[in-house]
Amino acid sequence: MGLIAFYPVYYAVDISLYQTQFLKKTAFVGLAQYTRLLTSPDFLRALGTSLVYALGSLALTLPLGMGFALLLNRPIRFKAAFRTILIIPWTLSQTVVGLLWLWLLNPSYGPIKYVLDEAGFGQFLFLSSPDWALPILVLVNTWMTFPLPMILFQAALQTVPQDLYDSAKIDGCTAWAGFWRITLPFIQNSVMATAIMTTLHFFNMVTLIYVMTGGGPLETTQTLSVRVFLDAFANFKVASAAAVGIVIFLLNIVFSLFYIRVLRRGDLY
Amino acid sequence: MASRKARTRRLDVLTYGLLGLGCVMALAPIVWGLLTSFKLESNVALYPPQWVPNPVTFEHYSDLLTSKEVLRVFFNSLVLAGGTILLGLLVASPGAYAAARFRFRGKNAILLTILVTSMIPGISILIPIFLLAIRAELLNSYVFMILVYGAWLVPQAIWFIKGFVEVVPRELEEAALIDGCSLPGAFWRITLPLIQPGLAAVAILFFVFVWNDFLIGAVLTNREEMRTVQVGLLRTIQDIGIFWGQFMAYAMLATAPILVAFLFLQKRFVEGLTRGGVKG
Amino acid sequence: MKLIRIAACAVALACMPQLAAAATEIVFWNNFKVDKSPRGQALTDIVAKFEANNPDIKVRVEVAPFATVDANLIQGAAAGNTPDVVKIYNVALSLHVAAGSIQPLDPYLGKMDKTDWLLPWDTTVFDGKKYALPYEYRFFALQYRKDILDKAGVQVPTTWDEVCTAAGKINSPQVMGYGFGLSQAQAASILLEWADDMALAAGGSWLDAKGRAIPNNPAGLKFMQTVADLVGKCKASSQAVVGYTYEAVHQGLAGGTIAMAGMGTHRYEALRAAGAKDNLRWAPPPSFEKGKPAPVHVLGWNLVMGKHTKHPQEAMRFMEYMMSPEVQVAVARAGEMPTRKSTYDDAWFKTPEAGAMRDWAQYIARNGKAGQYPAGWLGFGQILASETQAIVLKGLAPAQALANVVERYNKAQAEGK
Repeated sequence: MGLIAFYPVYYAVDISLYQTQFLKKTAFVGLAQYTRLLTSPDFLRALGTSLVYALGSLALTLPLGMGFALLLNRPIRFKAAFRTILIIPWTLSQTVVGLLWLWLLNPSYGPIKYVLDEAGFGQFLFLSSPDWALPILVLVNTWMTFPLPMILFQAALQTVPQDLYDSAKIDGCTAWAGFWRITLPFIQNSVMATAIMTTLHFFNMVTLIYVMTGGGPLETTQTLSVRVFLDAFANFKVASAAAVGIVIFLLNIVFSLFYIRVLRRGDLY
Repeated sequence: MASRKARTRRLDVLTYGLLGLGCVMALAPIVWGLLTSFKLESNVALYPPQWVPNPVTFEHYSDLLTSKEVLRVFFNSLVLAGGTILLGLLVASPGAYAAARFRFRGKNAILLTILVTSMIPGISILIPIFLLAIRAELLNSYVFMILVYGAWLVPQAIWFIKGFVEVVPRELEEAALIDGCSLPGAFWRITLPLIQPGLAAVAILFFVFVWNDFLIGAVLTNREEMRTVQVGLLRTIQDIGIFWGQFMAYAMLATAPILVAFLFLQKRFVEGLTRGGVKG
Repeated sequence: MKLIRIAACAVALACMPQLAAAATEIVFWNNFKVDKSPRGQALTDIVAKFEANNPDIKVRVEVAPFATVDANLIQGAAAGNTPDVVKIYNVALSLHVAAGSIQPLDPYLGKMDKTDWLLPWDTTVFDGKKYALPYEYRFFALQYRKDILDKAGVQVPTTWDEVCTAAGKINSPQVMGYGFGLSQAQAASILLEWADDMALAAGGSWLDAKGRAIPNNPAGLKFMQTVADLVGKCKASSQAVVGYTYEAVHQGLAGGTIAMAGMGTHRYEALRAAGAKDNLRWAPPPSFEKGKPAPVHVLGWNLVMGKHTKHPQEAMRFMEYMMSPEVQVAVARAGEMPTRKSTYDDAWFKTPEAGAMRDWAQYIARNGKAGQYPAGWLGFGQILASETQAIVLKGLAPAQALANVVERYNKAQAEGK
């Protein structure tokens, strides 16, 4: 499996140093791709969009996931039913979620438009608005993905020993403080792994965004990964795509190291 | 005493309320898709929208369930998902155990490197993986695809499960070893049951990832009998339009196996596993 | 002749059991699946008849949806493994010729009639070699809701100025007057089809013979100006068009939330079946000069032979059969426009249900042209989408938008692979 893991990295770096035509190399151009890329305003803009998309979605999905996980951890009934219903958005593929929401949000015939009309509101542009497209995508993404951290956090919460809570209560700790001082530190490593997983997922997402907006309007939703996709598969600019891909790769590493540093507990490794 | 009971009751109401609200928000958009799957194609695009299908039709579902091609893609994806879960748990569990318990030189570096390999964006690895598959003549192979899925997922799984192994008190394992258990035996009998929730969560993760994957399935197969569920979904999108009734029915059917697997894994999410383990 | 054919069939059928053992299997990638729909059922019958008449060949029909067929074929060629016969959209033909995923048909063509086609034979000839046989045709026409136009007391427009005024009268938050789509999703397909024909109707084209965008292009400017006027001066469309795809405009027309739109003729039957029924009508695409019909680029699906096929002879026999007038009539009855002239002599075309198709065929016989689509065409669509969005959302001047498109496209083509 190591071969499978490492070969693509080698290949991607290798091909990003060449010009290509239809999957075949034509000329060696060295680091020219990278210099051109990193100085282009398009690239920086796509980078910014990726960050807003990923961090915005993280800021919503992680608390939501944790909130529901905590609620489901309480002694209540119908747990299985609640758990199963709540994960349904995540069981749909990105294509389905994208097309479904595209229909719901359509400014001419979407059901949401109908309801708003009846309620007396005017026409909303939703995804046709350069100001709202990205926030709406973040919200749809949150709707679709919150079950991921929810499941992982639920599992992590199972490992917290009851005696810790009991002794905390005896010491007069409130539930809120108990969460921050006892629960969270205990499951720190799981939270870190979840954060890494979710961030990688968001940085790599292409299908949902491409299906709903194609990167527009006015490139306001063109994240780095969408850019890679368009370069490679719409324009067949494989080398350029590879270069952007490498950059995403490095970004992923940066984020992960950041989480590890922030959330490390003693002998992490 | 009375106020504590009242407070618990209030908390319960709040809990049910919030969970209920969450369920409504999760389900509402899907209800639209579900209703559409029971409509005739000619009623799908009506405006104002037809809220209740009239007439209700099951033809989309029956067409799908009697189609050889659809059953084939579901089968393929099941094999791939099952295989990946098996491979993943077999590799990630011992890996996570080693990562959590053992100390050896270069451990940090190895762990980080493992994680880093899953950080290259999926789209960037597609073409090189494809070319690798061609050279090794491994297109249309269950095994190769499972390895590719595993390469992406296992590193993250190792890190996640590691967290679970770390909170299992070492004393339990040491006690077993003193009692004459071998190391793998201790792992199997003591640690593994205690990290069940982590394993279950990872299993669901793998299932959903493989089941909903489109790109890897589309790139690594070019024979119709090896296609996956998401590739099959595209057949409901034709050049003369999207057949929404078929599309939604397909989407709904596709969620069924995941929900079944999840219900099955529910009992692994057992609480308070380490309660009372340390005392005495 | 017919008697001999019947006799031959009888002999073939009698020999079938022995020959069946030696049947060659060819793989055919079709763009839709075999199901209960008219097209699906027609294809089942067509293939069954072919196998009955050619017992030494078995056809395995696989589905290669339009969204993935080009990528799949190129990947397959790279892997040294392609199907025998593939359905490819004409816009992607030059891409496949350049990528080497399909092979020339000349060695196998035999005595195929080169004149019995609605469009000239050369349309699918590249570098002097014949690469594809057109299977069906479609073009971008004006489709509208008669009920909405009648209610507003508006005549069917024939020029773009008339579209502007007519749609302006109808446009409201409930119903969009003239619908179009500028979204980059779905490869900006509806924008590309529209812009492609608009440049042609304005007497020019977007790209020159070398595939570079033409600067200060008067045809391009007319298109940009039309977009600006539709949303600005005439208020015929709302800004929502920025996010619309082909599917969105289709659904709007079907449900009556869009009054008229440019749409491919292949959507006509589907729109009517989707609930619009007889309220959905078509008209020739508007032109820039009153009284003069607008020329259109004819689009459509073609049959090509995969590069690495092991059975070129059998593949060609199947392709020839698919091009035969009898099969083409069945194709027409299932809603797709046939490509051979002699097909239209069939009795079915005199029936009322064939009315629309008959008129379409006449229209493209008189005004249809073949388009040139270089490999960068999809990339062009993305850039064009971006700049037309700026016209609609930020009031960017049409001339400036055109200049941006030309600059961005030529730069991208030069830089980069």
